Amino acid sequence: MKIVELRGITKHFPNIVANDRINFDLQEGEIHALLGENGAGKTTLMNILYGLYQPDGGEIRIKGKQVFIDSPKKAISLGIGMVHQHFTLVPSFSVLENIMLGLPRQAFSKPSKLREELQKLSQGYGLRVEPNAKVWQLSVGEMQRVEIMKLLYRDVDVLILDEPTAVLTPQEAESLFKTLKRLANTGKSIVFISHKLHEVMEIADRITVLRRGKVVNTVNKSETNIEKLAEMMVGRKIVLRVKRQRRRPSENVVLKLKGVRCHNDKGLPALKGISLEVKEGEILGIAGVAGNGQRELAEVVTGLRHTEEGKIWLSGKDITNRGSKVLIDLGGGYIPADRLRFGVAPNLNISENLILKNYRKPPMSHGISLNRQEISSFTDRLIKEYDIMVSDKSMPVKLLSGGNLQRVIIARELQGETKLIVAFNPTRGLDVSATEFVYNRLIESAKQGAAILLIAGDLEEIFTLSDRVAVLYEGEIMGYVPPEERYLREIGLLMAGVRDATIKT
Amino acid sequence: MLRLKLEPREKSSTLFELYVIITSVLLAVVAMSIVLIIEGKDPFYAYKMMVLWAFTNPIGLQGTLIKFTPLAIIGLGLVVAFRMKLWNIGGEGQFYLGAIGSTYIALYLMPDAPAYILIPVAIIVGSLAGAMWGAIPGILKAFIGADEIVVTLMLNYIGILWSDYLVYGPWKNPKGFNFPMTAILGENAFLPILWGNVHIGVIFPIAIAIVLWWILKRSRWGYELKVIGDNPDVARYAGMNVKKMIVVVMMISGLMGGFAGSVQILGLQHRLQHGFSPGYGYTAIIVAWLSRLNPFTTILVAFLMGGLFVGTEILQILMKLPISATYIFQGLLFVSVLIGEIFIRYRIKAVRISAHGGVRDDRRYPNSSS
Repeated sequence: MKIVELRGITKHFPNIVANDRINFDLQEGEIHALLGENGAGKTTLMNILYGLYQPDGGEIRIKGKQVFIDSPKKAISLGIGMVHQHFTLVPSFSVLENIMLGLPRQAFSKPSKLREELQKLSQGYGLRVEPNAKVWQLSVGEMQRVEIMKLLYRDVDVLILDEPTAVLTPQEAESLFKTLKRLANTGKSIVFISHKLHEVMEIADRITVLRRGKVVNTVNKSETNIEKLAEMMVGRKIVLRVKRQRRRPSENVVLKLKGVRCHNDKGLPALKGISLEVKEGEILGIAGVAGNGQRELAEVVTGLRHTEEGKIWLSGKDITNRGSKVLIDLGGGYIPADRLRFGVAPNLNISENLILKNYRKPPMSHGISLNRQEISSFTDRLIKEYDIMVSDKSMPVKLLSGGNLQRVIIARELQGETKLIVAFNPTRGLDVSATEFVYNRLIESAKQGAAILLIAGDLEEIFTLSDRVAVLYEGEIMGYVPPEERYLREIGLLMAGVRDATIKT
Repeated sequence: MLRLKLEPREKSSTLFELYVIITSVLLAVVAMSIVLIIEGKDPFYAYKMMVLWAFTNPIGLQGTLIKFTPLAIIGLGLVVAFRMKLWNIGGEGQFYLGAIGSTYIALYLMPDAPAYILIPVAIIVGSLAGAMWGAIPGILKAFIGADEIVVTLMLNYIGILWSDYLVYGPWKNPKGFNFPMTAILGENAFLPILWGNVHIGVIFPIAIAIVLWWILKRSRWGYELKVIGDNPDVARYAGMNVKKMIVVVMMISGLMGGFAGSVQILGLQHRLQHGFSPGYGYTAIIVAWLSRLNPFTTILVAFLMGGLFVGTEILQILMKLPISATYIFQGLLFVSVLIGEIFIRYRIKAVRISAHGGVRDDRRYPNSSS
């Protein structure tokens, strides 16, 4: 039986059509994956079903009846619940209190009854959570379980999960998958949003592929495979893997950290004594679940964050707490994770963004004045060399697509003589062709002798590019693992903070 | 049911902006006509007199230019700050500080110095006093993150009240029949007159605008200002000193306010007195904003704004309109120009909500299901 039917759903945002006449249906008791690249419109579509957005066109039917969902409250009353990537829990409340929040008043009078019911739910579905624990003490995986429990307690029939594994270790993901299967067996329907092919093949019964806001196809898992899905997702046959010839790196250490400690934005310890070395021509991958000190590591190395203790050397020179100008002068480059926030001045044009690192020096400027001819020819050269698609050079760069914006940043960071590149999730939100471009550029730079510190959440990215992999957990390096698929389990354990898993390389 | 939605525009053409601004002004004129007709006055005659008086009559034009000078100088200073998204609304206080500084030099410190020394020193000291008034919010913003809007606003009151203290107290002219004003400055402190009572100060804004345009558009410093204004995080990565820039820019902005105050005292007022500014520092905010932060349009807008002040003054005299009619007209103009800004920044879209609740955009998707 069809629980949910979406017909011709259309949603516009400024400049883009996020959903273009989408048809989608969900059967009772199935796990239906919504697969697509970042920006394909998956989350938008489900936010419409959950009542967060109103569609510009189309209709929604629940159990055959047309409905108008104008809020998540309405959605939940219709039996639809959604777990977003960012959780909506109150950290200082207990698990029980978080689940009670928003329930009618009667629920508050009998917390013991509620606790009993929760116990039953959590045993029935394998969702282990301690009801009295405060949410701030929980791991990310546990918080996710609380979110799911919250919805199950409200008796939803349809559970939408937005990229639920993005924040989990492989082990946690596995336990989530078990729970989801159990839920489906008891007749709940699940929408699983993801861009990871392996995952989708493992968990889903049916798969709907979205590309650029349109449905490419809906297929049964038994009738498809990873290659076919990848092709649908990106619209052409692609080689999923960029081949990297691993070479013996030279002995010259370019970047060296010794006992580095720093704080996060809240003033709490984020890095707790990191020591590492990256050699000339080497790519060191830093794996780990997001939020374990990745951003802070990128920022202390690039001079954007204060180092509390320890030392950082670049090409033998002490650059600890000397700011990013020193790093730039010594040939350092930074590809940040959040492009619009840390990579560009979004309202300035492409030239103004490209000269950011060399505007002080001739030939870009003479004395106090900027050399406009030189800047213009420099811009044209980089646009050509890095294949940046830009129709109007005077328009603000925020209007460029993610892939083109990343090309602008890479062009700026990699031109000239590069000694060190700090790349932090360099392909986040990019389509496959832009990802390939980034990979090839990084590999090319390494070949020319640059040391690359690759900090990434995506293990496939780490495996594809790195010579060595270090796993970051709670601000410490847990150990090193060779970048090979067969060490996936060890990496998973290290990511979860189990130290013994280190492999001798 | 029809619902209106605003969508930000990516880019709008200069021609379209001009069209919107002209339409807004015309609409304000039409609205004001209704007020005039209710009052039993002929709107056509009123507008004709306003324009003729403010821009063609020698006396009126002199008045326009005199009002233009401080509006333009303060406005240009604000353009610098606004470009870095520093919302300096302390132009009025900085203007007063400049006036106090110059008066002190010309009246008390070196009243007998020859003009070629006295005038430059008075102007420099006045400007520096304004710069100091800009530096305070700049330093507070850069080092402890204090909101510059609040600090500059508060400093306006302090500046104005300080000036009042001086003219009511220690600096009051002993032979001034107890009026709250200082004695008149010596003639060695007067700026040269160009025409009627238009002093040489009228040239300053034009010179400043040219220099400022070059700095903002062509210099390294202007580039840094632009990057910091747009994204301080990226500016920091590029090695720019964001804190220093905040202080420097606030000082420059204040310096211009102080300079304008100096010029006003030495060129026109020739003495410090209670309430000598009809709110130039506040009107300059509107001037800078309407000019879209371009130095040359700032000059143009300041001139038109000066004309508006003078033109509405003549209405009071000729048509026996109360002064509140002037305020109504100015208010209508500002409101309609600001509403016009919405059309420049956003595109308005009509969306129809269909009977059973689904929302659809009829204009673009006539065939989508309903």
